[in-house]
Amino acid sequence: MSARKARHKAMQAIVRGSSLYGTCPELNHVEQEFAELGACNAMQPLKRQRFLQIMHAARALDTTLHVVIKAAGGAPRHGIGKMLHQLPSLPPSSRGHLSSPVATSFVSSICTSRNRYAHKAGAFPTSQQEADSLVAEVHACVALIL
Amino acid sequence: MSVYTLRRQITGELSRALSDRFVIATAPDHPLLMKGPDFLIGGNGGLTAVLIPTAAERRRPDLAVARFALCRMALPEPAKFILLASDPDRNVADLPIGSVAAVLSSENARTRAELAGLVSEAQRLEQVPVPEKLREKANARFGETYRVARVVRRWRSRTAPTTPRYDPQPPFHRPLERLRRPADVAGLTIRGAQDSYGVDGGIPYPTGRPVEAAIIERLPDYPGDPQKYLRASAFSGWVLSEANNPYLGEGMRMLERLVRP
Repeated sequence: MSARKARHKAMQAIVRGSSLYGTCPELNHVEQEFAELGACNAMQPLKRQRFLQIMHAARALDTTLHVVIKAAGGAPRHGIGKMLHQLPSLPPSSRGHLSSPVATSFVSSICTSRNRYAHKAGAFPTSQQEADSLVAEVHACVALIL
Repeated sequence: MSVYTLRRQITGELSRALSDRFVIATAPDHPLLMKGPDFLIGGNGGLTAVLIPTAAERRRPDLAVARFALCRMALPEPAKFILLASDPDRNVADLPIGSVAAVLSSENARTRAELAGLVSEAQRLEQVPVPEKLREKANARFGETYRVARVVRRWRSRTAPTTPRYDPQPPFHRPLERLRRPADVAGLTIRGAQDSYGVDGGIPYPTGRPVEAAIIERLPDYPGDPQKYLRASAFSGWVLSEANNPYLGEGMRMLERLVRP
């Protein structure tokens, strides 16, 4: 099995295996967003493929953060960065709690890139490495908070 | 029977036994682990990790314990662990029942058939939970270590004004761990886990080992996840860098200020 397929399966198992999966239908959509990453592989031109991969990964993370913060009794703020900064203040025993250093690390590795492509007209990832990096950071974050 | 043959057999058995509400990931590529569980099965609100000791782990059970410790810290707390060991090696990992949720024989097809039943009701399995404070401590160390590893890598590819001065006297506590090739990173993470965690009753207790630096001649991107070597190394307590990066010392000094053992 290729590394990408092995990663996709791992993330699918983690999402499906979450105790929130049955009670929060939004996690079905998160699983679908991760599945779309693979569906993008045949898309042309490449800049569109990479842009969509970033958008699907960002949407998956945004919804996961939303679900996790609400389940812990919090009020999700608007934006991935703001929600990541909320995670250290969640009760330590709840799913989704992250220590400040980890949350800050993910803010720096995910939000800057994502915001550039989500907001700036004409901006596209310049390499597959850039798209893969952001997607993988989203995977790591979701794996830690679900 | 080799681990790979056993994995293929078990994949088939689980696929036939479990409904499509379950996802079976064989040799899953977890973003934080170079050596993860042999199976990760999610569904019905439960996550199960199955560990099958390799030949090396049967010869050296401490390697199996280290892999178990890393998996426990990387996977969510509700994840249940099942050890699938051959009959002579049922206690191969020194992981008695209670620290893992179940131990099954890998050679007996009938007991192996229990695996699907256990997986389908993973929430009912009993396992000693990892205290929140331990996870918080491990994750905080990971966050700082990973940040520094990425910054050190970025400094190498950029020039001033953000690049710090070059200091030829790095603050390394002991000789640097030198890797020859990317495949050695997996072994590095296990060594990091052995030094970072003492497993007692199934709980990985941090030993307080300071984060250390490891170097490799050339650090390629992991397929589909360019930062995985850095991230997995950081998760097991290493700042991984290319050997000719002159900013590693400054990065380690920065990390010393951030991470309290």
